[in-house]
Parts: sequence; structure tokens; C-alpha cells
Amino acid sequence: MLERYDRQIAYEGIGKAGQEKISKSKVCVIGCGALGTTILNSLCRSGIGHIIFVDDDTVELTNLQRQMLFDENDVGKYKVHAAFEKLDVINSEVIIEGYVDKISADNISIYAEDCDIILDATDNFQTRQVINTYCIANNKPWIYGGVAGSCGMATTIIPFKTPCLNCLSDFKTNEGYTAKTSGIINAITASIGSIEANLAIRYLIDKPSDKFIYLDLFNDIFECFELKQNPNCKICGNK
Amino acid sequence: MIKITVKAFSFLEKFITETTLTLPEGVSCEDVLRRLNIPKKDVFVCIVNGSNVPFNTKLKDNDSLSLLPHLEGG
Ligand SMILES: [Zn+2]
Repeated sequence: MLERYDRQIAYEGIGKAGQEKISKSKVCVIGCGALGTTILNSLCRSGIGHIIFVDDDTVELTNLQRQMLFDENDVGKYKVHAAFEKLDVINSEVIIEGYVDKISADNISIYAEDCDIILDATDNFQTRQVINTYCIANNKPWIYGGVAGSCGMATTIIPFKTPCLNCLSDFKTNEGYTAKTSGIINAITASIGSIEANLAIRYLIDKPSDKFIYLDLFNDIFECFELKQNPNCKICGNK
Repeated sequence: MIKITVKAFSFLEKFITETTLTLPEGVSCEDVLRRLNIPKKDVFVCIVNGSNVPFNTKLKDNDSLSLLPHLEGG
């Protein structure tokens, strides 16, 4: 059973003990677009035991440039259904559950409750706030990621240990840079999606990152910043 | 007066006309955004001397402020 992961186990940072933790883990990926398909592909191949993912969109022709699990035959299908078909043949050892749904404060617990970590692959700030509020209230870690143009960023949010989304930003509305407003290249979604999946694996094998990562692939920027929790944060402060 | 350096990443670069600012004591990151006419909604994180800070953080002499754009896509 472990033969498939031979090269991953051979990497000393993971090893057999790490692989066993990975295979016992359950994760929830919210969103199945460019970040989501990269994350799912990576986590499924890495042998995460149980993956739940949620998205309510259908595949469009303009998605194929960067949403790595989809092909021309998938246009018009629900992303969840198209991705499920691919993931199921990539690694049949993984328990995969995909749900066509829009994540909200009312339903997030249905999908995320038993998961060890949540990965953000959403395309709007409001859903990220839903994830943040849920995760802080339930002491559950999550991986933040965002992309537009040639740039992207990602970080691990561990409640009461690292800054939450609200500590990081004063932002409150959906008015940021997106693939629609600013275009996007597939190198950045593939990079940030891979980084998010890797941050999740590192958390799951007790080697979490404590940095905020920023990339800009057309300006050769690869930056890591230190993270500081805000003791006065309205969501996670003073606890 | 205090002197600070500002670095804006990616989409925010277009707003930066000065990289070294001389400002009155007690100014915050938010004040710098206003002074440079950078819409607050475009900025996701303010980084001072290498780590994230709340937007209302007061700046000190020789601080270095980096501004990361609000990347909302996924
Ligand atoms: Zn917080």
C-alpha cells in the first residue's frame, strides 16, 4: 500500500511516520477552481486519507487555461463531478467526497466538522471570512490562499497561535484583485495551490510553517514575512 | 518628524511616487495609505519591518512599510 508513496516517504522531511499521519488525515477543500483543482490533485496524490470538497460552479471554457483537473469534455459539468471523476482514478485509495454547494456560515460545519484542516480555494473575501470565523470558533486550522495576475499569497492560520484573517487584514468586502478584474496566469495558481497543499501536509505531520508567503512570478518576487497575532483582534484576540 | 520607507508590491506599485517619506510623529499605516492616495480596499496586509501589523499601527522613525495587494482570486 505504501509503495505508491515510496518517493515521498524517501524524503526525510516526511518519512514513514509522516506518511502514516497523512494517510490518517481528513481535510476539507472549499472551492474547486484554479487553486482547488491544484490542491485536490496534490493532496490526492500525496495520499491524504479522506478529502471532502465543495463548490457550486460549472466548468467553463475560460477555466481550462488554469483549472488543471478539467478538459474540454467537462465544459458544462459541475466542477465537483468533473473533478471527482479525475481524482477517483488518480488515487483510488483516498476516500473522496465532493458536494455541489455554496459555502455559508450556516452549512460550513456540515462539511468541515470532522476535518483536521480546511483549505481555502475560494475566489472571494466573504467566504474566507466565513471560514475564518468558523475556524476560530472551533479551534480548527486553515490554509489561506489568494491569487490574481502573476501574484499570490498563502499562509497557515492556526487559531490563537498565528494571526487569523482578521488580524492580517482590515479588509471587509469583495473588492480585491481577481482573475476577472486583473487576469491570471496558470503558473501562479499552480504555485499557490501547491504551496497551500504543502502547508496543509506540513501542519498534518506536525511541521507547520509560521510564515506568510508572497510570490509575483512576473516580477521575480519570492518573499516570506513573519506572522504576528493581534492581541486586540475582534475574532481571535485576548484568548 | 520621522522618516519611513515604503515598498508596494505588484498591483500597488503604480500608486507609489515616493519611497522615502518624512511624516509627523504618530502617523499610522492607514495615514500613509491616505497620503499616497492608495485605496484601503486595494491593500490586504501592511508589513512593518518584516511582520504583519494592524492598519492603525503607529509608525516609528526608520520603519520600513511594505504593502501587499488584496488578491481575492482563487
Ligand atoms: Zn485575529
